[in-house]
Amino acid sequence: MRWIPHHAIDRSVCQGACHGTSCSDKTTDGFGPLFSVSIGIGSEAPPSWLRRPSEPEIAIVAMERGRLWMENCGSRLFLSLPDDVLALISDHLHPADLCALSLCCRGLRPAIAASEKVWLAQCRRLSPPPHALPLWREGVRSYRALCRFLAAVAPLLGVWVHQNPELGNVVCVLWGFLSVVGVRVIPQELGPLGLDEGPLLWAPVFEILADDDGSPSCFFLHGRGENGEESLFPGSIGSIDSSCNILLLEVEARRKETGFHQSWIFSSIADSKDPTFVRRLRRCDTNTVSAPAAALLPPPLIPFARLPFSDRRGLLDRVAGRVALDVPPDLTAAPLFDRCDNAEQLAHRRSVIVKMHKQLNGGRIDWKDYQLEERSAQHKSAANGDELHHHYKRNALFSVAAYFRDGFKQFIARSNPRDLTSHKKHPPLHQFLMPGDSLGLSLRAAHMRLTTYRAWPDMHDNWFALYKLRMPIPTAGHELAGLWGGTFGWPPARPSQDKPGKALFFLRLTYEEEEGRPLLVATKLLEGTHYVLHPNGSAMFVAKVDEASSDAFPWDNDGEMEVKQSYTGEGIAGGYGFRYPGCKPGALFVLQNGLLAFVWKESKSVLMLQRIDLPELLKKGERVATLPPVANFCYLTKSYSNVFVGVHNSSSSNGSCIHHAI
Amino acid sequence: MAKMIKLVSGDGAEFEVEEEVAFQSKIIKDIVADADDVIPLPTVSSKVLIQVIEYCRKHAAVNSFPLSPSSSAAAAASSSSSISYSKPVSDPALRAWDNEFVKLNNSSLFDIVIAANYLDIEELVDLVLETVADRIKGKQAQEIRRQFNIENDFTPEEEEALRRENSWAFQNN
Repeated sequence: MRWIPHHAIDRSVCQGACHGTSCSDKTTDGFGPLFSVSIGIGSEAPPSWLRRPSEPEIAIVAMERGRLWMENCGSRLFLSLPDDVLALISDHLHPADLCALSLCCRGLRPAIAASEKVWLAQCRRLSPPPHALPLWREGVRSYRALCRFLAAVAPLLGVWVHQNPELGNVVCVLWGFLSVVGVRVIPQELGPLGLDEGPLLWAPVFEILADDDGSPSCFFLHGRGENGEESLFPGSIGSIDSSCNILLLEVEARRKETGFHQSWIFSSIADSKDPTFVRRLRRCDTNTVSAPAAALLPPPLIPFARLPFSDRRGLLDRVAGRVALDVPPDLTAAPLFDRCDNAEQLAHRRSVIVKMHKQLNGGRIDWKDYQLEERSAQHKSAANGDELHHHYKRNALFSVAAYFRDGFKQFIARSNPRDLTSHKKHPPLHQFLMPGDSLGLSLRAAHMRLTTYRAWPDMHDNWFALYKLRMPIPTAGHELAGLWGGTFGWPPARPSQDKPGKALFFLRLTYEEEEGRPLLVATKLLEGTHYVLHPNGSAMFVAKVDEASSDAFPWDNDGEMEVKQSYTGEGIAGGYGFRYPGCKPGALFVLQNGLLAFVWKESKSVLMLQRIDLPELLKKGERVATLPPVANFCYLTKSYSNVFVGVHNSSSSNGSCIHHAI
Repeated sequence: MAKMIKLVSGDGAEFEVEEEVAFQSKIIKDIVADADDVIPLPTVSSKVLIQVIEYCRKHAAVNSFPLSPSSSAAAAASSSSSISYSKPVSDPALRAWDNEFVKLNNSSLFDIVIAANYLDIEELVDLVLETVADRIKGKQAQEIRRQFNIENDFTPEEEEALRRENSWAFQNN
């Protein structure tokens, strides 16, 4: 309420008129001081210079105020910009900033949220494959939806590993078609065409496809079905942390109460940070519609990770067995990622399997169905021995540590203090799974504090998890960082048809510092021998980058080989048993054609390496058969041979024969 | 004697500038190549034109007097091509001048970027947009409203519904 301004009031008259009351100056929001005067006089009408404004006067002031406000309203600044310029601002902002801007007022919302150009700029920032964006746009509602998907799954891209089997378990997650696909590079020998021509053998592990609205909701596990055919196993995505370093396969139990859905999935691992936990709780709260049974809230779900190993394995196997999808043969053979000119095939495959995912309700099964599955599994196991148990057992027999067969409890490795949790009392299964629940496979990408030794993470022995291995990018001073691959022997592998293939090694080179000295550490990720020589994640060699080597390159008889640099170092050697390798002196040579050679001084063994662009190699590669779904995701049995081929193939009795299909 | 180009602002004021200053704008360069030396700019007000000319003058001076022989060769090569300002702003003194230049209120900034876009002065457009983005980055909607003087005309329910719709963007911060 605005009074007539005080400067128009004759102060002397005012002072005379008010007694026993207070004249107070109150300032309002920029409209000048407001006089609050209570006049204790009789029934005389107040003087004309001091009166309450009339209703029409108030209305005029309000309209004037509104007009001034709208003229100055900042949204008009943005709305006056041409579309192209608005899209250019997007280059400097994150999706969260754009969404905050679009929430400011009604006028800005269509300009920002619905602008295709603005969100296209955002999509480009997430580095999808070039030329893919317009093709992918066809499968979703808008570039905003596409940006939502790309931003959600981008943290999954890269290389993920597990300790088992010791020959190497390397899963590379790369862009598919409106999806991300995780594929495993299996231990193999170098083909006749060398590394650049491939084909590199790989097996699919999982894929996550985008829904129409851009949510990363269609998750499929790849694996071998009961009858030996390649199958898909649908599930859901739990959550993807933007700085995730561990990928967990779980079974999610959802409570279905009348009137509202609640989904509670959270980790109670003691030292894990799960910032999405509180947000998920909040989301559950906002989804809650008047809950009359508030007093009868169901007890909170036990998190999957707290269940004992045997229960977790059983749940995963049975749920997977129940949701297996029969995929038509033409779709099984269809490509998973872009190889040029197969965009139509990819788009068709995507739309068919997304539809299947929806029809199966995301792969959720009823508690009753699960019970039936459990009973039939128990029958089978009673009748002719547990198939799956045999599968694990068979491989255990080939492994040196045969005494693992009774439950995977022992783990001879760098002891992990977290192993103690496996000995704590575990909650029984009936607390995890209650009548009326629905179950489904779920993938969760979380961030946890992990300890590492020489760039290799310490891993839990009975979690169905993959661990992220950050691939460093070469920079000034760290030119040799990154993923390298190669074989033993000189000259560098130029194999011919009659010679046997050479075992392919993948190494990750990183710069570390130990006791103040800069080192280049080569961590072994993949070893293509038939029987592993050294543990997964060992340092194949370590070079001291501040110490040049005085050795000459051993095969440079003609003086033709130009050695750009050489460093002294140590290469892996036999030590005190498998688990504790030793090292022997050697030297690292950086050759002129971008190759690296590490030479063991005494034995003159030489490991030749070249840089690897893994996604490109995989695109030119060749797909091979998978294992049963859960083992295909994470093979927990200790094994020293190649479990990824030939287990079901009777001709390869030792499980290690690898054949190239040419 | 440097050739002079005459620029006429929207309110009729005339400004004479050296050719190399005016050529910071691609549009002006193309027009002059065809014919006139007098260029009317009806959509640009005098106030904004003065600021734009000041920017162009500073950047033209830096481009004409490079710091080293190698960059003078680069400048000579680039001036003969259609792009007259291909040198990135790596000079710290110039960056500092730019940062001072953009210490303006929101309204002026937007007027400048519209004019710079019209005149096709890429570096100036980038500079102003980067400044505007800095004023938006990392802020909640309420703070952005305060910064740009935007009135919230959503009802609380509408705003809550929109927040939920956009929750995917806020989750990964």
